[in-house]
Amino acid sequence: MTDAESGSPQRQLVVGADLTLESDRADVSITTADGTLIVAVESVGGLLALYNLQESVTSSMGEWLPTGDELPDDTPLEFNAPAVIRLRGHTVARYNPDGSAGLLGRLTGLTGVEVAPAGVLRALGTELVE
Amino acid sequence: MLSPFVCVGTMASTDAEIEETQTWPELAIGLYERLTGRGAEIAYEFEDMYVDVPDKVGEDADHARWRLDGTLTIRTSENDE
Repeated sequence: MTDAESGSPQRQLVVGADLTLESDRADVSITTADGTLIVAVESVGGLLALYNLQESVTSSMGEWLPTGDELPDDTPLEFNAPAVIRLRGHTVARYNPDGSAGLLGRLTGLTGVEVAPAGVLRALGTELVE
Repeated sequence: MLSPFVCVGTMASTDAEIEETQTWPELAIGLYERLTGRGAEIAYEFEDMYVDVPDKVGEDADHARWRLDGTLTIRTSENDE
């Protein structure tokens, strides 16, 4: 009997990260704090590189991930951690798995992503000044 | 020849889900479920690891090289934890 069938609470995956990702276009730090995933980038170019990485992985994952038909239907796991994207120390977007898609979410197809306009302006201002 | 799937099925003879394992992904999920069910945690440690990420499928794909360093841990919890 599965957890769902037995009525027991559904289990979720809890991820902890203390990672750095570097490419010729980006320096990215991924950490977790109080259950929130924090993605910190130091430049607009780095943010675009991270978005390109997400697109590349998404478009090719069908080649190396099992298809839905190969996974058990009753796997009682879910991943629903919130996330924050920071650019130059300023929060520019938030991901809430339970939230509706904001403007950025609709533009990028990343459901649940909401832009923080004040943070975007501060981050861009910092980048332009330097 | 005795396959890994048969071995796991033998280990978990009382677990119907594991006994029905047919593929490597199912095997991985089955093992993960059993480990995390006992409160275990899976930790990935990346030390100066380089990954060439293709921008599309095919031989003409361009690759972006990413360097990973640090740790990633995964465990499970109940929603009301």
